[in-house]
Amino acid sequence: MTRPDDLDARLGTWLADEAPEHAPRRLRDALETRLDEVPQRSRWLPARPSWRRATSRAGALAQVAFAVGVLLIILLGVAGGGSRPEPSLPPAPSGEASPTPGSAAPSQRPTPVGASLAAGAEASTKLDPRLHFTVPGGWTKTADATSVLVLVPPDAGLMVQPNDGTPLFDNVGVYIDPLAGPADGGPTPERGVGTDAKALSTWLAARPQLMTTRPVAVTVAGLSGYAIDISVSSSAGALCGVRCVNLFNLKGNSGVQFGVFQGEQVRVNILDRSGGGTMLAVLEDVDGVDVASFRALAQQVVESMALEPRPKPSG
Amino acid sequence: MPHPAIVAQAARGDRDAFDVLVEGSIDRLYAVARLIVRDMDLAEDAVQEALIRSWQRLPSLRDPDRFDAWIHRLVVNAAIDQFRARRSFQASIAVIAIEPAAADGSGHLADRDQIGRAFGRLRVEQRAVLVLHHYLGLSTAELADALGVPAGTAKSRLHYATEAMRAALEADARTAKAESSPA
Repeated sequence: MTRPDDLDARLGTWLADEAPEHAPRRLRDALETRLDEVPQRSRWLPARPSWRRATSRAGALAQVAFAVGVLLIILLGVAGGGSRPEPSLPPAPSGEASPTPGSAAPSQRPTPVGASLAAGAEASTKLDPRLHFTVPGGWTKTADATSVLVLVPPDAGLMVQPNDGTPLFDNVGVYIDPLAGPADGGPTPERGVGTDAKALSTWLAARPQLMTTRPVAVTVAGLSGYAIDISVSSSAGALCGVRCVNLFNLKGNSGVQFGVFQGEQVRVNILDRSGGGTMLAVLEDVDGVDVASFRALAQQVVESMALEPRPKPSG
Repeated sequence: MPHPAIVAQAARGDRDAFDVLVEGSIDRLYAVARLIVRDMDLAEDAVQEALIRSWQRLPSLRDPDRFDAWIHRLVVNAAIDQFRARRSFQASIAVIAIEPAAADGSGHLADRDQIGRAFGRLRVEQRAVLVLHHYLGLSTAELADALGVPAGTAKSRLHYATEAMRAALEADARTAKAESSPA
């Protein structure tokens, strides 16, 4: 029979005996690999959409996205690739241009966190495939992972995410192997959408939650594809405190998604990689202010991009 | 508890600092997860998910002093999620009953078996509460912090988990007694 007064001691002893002393080596290895893949969200992902305050239906959708730890929201920037897409999107209606509490007081203005780049030729260190590019002085590399590279210009426009206060900066982003992402940020890519540049750009242009230009053929980093300008339409749900739309889930279940907030002006170059797969070269103006200047600056970087050829297999 | 400066550094995206945090906590987190889910693979998945989430969300942690409570909450939630997700699969697998250890007075081993069987009968949420309190030694206030609930709720959950454990032990003892009685 159990003696109530010694249960705590018995349980404590049993738990101490049962507990493993060390975590397995394979757990440490697997974690190390995944950490290399997953960027810290403050750099370009919202920590969580504030959908729980929305309607019950939206709340349910939010739960789905949140459970997966997702709904990214960001990245598509500006400046087209080799040949420019046609005229950019019309400016957002007044009242939408400033999506959020976008501007912090000057003394509190956050700055991008990452590696400062010297003017001149640079190359990614972890992005696969490796990418060479040239930047003017003052740029910051805020992410360099297997499937994501993010470059922020000096004095970049700033948007503070309404859902969690995370700062986002105008940027040039490169994403490897994007898949059509569900608008609500769910983890499962949209079915029935192809993975090449034409299929993805056609799909984007038809999404009711977006205002887009017609996809235009471009060449970036020696890759052919399509450029399309994107902003959020009034049909998008206010799932992030403001309207937002998830655009892409990256292949490989990395947990990284890429989307757009209300008020952003984004240009996406969707490119077919030789040998299979796709790549995004994105110019994202997060505050929708002075878009032309940002695009002109970012376009120089995009046009300097060149992929390092994969080594040919020996034999 | 990790130095708040290390936590703050990791929250600014410093992977080396985060590696320090991982090294200082992964054994403990794995033990907690393993005790809660009672399965090696589920525990590994839970710890991996919790640490990935912590890396992603670390910038949202306002107070670096709360890192331990925060990471405990992440790992408990991940363990419960993993357990529930795998449950439907496991439900289709026949459970092999483990015979109670013979009541031969050999004491410690028999007691261990009895505690283990009773603990295994608890709901996963109850196991989590008991592990945090009896294995990690968290006080009621710390338990509340780790579970993300008010202190009163944490106290109540601990009480009910303990009562459930006691009831499971008593049920186990009754079964053993009935089986050892002559027909």
